[in-house]
Amino acid sequence: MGTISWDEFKAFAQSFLTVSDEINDGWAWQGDQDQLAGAFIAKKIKQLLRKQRSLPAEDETDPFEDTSCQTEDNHIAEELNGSQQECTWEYHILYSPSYATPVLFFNVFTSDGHLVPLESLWKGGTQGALQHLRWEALSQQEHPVLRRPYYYLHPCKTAELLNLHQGSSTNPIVTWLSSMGPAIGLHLDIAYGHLVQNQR
Amino acid sequence: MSDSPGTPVETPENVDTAEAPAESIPPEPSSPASVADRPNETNKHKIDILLKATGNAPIMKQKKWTVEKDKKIGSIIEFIKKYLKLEPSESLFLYVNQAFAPAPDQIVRNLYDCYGSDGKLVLHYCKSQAWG
Repeated sequence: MGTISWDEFKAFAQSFLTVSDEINDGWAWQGDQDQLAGAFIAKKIKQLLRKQRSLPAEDETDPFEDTSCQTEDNHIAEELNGSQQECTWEYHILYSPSYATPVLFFNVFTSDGHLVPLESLWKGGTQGALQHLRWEALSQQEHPVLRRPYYYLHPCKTAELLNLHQGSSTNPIVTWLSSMGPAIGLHLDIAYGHLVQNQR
Repeated sequence: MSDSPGTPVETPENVDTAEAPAESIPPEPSSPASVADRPNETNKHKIDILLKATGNAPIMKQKKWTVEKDKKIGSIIEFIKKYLKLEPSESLFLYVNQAFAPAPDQIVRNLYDCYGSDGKLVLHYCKSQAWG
């Protein structure tokens, strides 16, 4: 029913890496592959974080939520008011033993090393989907391998999505990642599409 | 003497051999045969796409559409969402091969080059609350 085992995950991830190596996409293994869910594939890129549509008025219409109560949290960047900013994006594809599906963890830092706040990510989603779903879709959790806080996309419905494509997809990681990724700025090259090509 | 009757016989043979090289492949293999096959030749800058529903997605009354070659996948997704009157919170995914979702800024021509056949590109769409 759309779920995969750890060994299957490793095999699918490995063929994913084969394509990545061919087109120099930069994905690589990290961690201990002999341990259940102890390894993941990762990629780090620099790209712009942009707001989907400049929701105007956001600053003006809310005079009460003003500077007086701004806590100086040095670890989190202020909400990005500029239209675009170059950020470092770290994407990790892990295996979730409880859901038996792949799961995406990621972090986004501004160029001066601040973590980009969740609010900016909700707004920056390219499909607008995150903006409506908010906590249902994206929140922060301890990275199961690195033991540090990371953002992650909730895997509850991943199996359902993969189930839809059962039989047609030969690599569930590609199917799932190509569907979910764009919402958080991860666009898969068209070359990955060949991994799921049906044998005709 | 013997030469003169021989010449008219040879001439048709010569013509035949001269025509033989015409079999060689035309110099423009890039021109897609599919475009010429289509009755409507005005659509050279357009591609036929076929939209098919999977999973619980509602079907569309009109399945075959003609879009411009440099149309982005993202705008096709938006179009389908509007056509099917989806809620803003619902996500719609578009797949080639039923299994790969091209990036929203990918253009139709690139997909057609890789995955098109018989003069059209088949795209499957599914509606999914793939979040949370």
